[in-house]
Amino acid sequence: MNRADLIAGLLGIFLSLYVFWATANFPDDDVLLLGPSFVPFLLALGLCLSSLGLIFKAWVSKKPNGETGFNWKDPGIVRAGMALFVTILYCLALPICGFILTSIFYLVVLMYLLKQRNYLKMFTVALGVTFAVFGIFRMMLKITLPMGIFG
Amino acid sequence: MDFGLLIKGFETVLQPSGLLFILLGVTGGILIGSLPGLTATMGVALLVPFTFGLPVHHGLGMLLGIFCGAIYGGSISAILIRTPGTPAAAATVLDGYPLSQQGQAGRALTISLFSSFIGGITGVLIMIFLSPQISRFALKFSSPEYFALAVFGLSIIISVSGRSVIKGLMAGFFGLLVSTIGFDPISGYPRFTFGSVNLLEGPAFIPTLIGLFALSEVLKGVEVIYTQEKIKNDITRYFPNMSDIKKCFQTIIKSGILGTFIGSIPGAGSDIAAFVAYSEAKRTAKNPEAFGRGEIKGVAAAESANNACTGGAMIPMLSLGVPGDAVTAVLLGALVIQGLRPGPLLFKDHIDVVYSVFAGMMMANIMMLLVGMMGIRLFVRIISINRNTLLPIIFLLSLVGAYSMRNSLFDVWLAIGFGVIGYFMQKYDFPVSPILLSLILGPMAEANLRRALIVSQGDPMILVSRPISALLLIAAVVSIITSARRQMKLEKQVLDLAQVTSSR
Repeated sequence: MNRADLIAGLLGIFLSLYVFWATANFPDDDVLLLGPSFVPFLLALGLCLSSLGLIFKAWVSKKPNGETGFNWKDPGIVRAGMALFVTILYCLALPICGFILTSIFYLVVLMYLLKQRNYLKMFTVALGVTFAVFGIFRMMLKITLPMGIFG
Repeated sequence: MDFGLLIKGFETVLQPSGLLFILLGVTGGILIGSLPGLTATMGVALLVPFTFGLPVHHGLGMLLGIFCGAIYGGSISAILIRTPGTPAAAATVLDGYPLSQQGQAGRALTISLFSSFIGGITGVLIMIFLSPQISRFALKFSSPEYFALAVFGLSIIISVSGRSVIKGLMAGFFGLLVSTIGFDPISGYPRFTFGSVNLLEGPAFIPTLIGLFALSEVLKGVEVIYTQEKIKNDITRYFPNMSDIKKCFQTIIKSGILGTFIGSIPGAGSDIAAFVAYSEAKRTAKNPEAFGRGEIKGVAAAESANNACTGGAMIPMLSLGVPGDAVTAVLLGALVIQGLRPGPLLFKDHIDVVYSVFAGMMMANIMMLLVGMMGIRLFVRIISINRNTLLPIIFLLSLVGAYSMRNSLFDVWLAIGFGVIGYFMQKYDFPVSPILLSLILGPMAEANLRRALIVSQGDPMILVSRPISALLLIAAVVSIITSARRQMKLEKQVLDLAQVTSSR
């Protein structure tokens, strides 16, 4: 049995059940004949059927098909998880500390996480990239980037 | 078609100042296009105010330069870092990035530039010679035809499904469901918004794209940074080799014509043109299974069509005053600001402007080829940067790109969310491309299906009773059947191989 496909299939069914439930609460449209629920309902039906197909295949398959497994202790996955965590922190800090400060720290931390140990290079790249991006977006394209409490 | 006026148009454009403005526009356009999150529409809109004080020929030349440059520029980041710089380059990712992964980034970039150039020139030539005829034909498109066109584009979902049709279908339905988030296109009822104002217009396309393709890839890159061998991408040439040109030329021309025609249909933009041309190239290829794994023809088809679309989109704008896409809508505004009114009267009262637009677009494409050739070595250098330095930069650029679309932090969270979804999808062998296809074509399919059914009072026969729509639907059915058969054969081969390996 392929567990990953089974879980994906179940997620697909849960999503389609949610869409069935949500579309049942959409208003009918007597004037336009087909209301806002028409297309989402059809699509949810398609998702539900294909999810059932995947579950059936996962159930009968003896060998995981293309499954690479998910090991939470794998150093690569831990590293990707930490990068994601740092990115989430970056997004939380962005409106408070502003683009320049947050981005410099973000780049330095990510480079450190990826085992860059040349500190001069780390800070030069972080400063250079942050100011270049800021310059292009803010000065040239007039797109406001978050300034935070220092703005 | 008046050759005397065309020569006069070239005389105006070929003045040193005219060329300089086109050069500035093309260079700026390539830069804007290659930055994730910045679209051609945004680039043209940002520079319209700068053209107010310029003579009309120079101002228009610069804007046309941005238009052509940005559409090509989108392919650079699509090929190198799996992030389409503009939605028009979304189809380029499918084969461009795999080529880059195989150490053939230079090959992909040169064919992308060459195809963009030939596609762009094809579009301009068709615009010059066939504007009135195409405009009349494009106006025959109504809801059933738009719906059928979207279905034809969606029909390649099965063939971009990778190793499992079921997973491809699931991804496709998921993408189509995501595309229904926001205001219902007919009644305006908000669907699946969870009370969030940010979702009323649906999830913004660029942040979703950045999440699914760029962030998921960077997360994967972070995971395998020490286990994955570094790919060497040397570039020895600025122009594609003759064998690639010979292999792709027919596809480029065919996609160019297709792209011009799709561009001339109001509302169908270069992203749709690229996918329809890609789908057609794959459908008619001798080795369709190679598409999506680094087939050079895939890059050529998408890039030729999206740049040809620039010429196509100008056709209804100039001859009818109806913009073909968002960029030409902004260009129309720029013309109006200059005191010109696009449409039949423009051809009567300001025919010189029309011909300088023709000449300007031709020169913009030539300039794009030159600037692109000069930049290729620089572009490839980007991916030769150490990955522990490059990946954080791509992370940052992706987040800024997601933010810049609407100056919204919500879009950054959206990109991160889709990044995680894309990461897990890749990990468990779910294809991401069907979602992309669904997000582009889903809204067009839904709105036009419902409009058509309203017109016919619920009778679905309207979809097959009109010749263009019937033809497109037949092509879609043929494409689905042939690719389903091919995919099932492929799945069986994979299964047999797995059984043989396990029995050893």
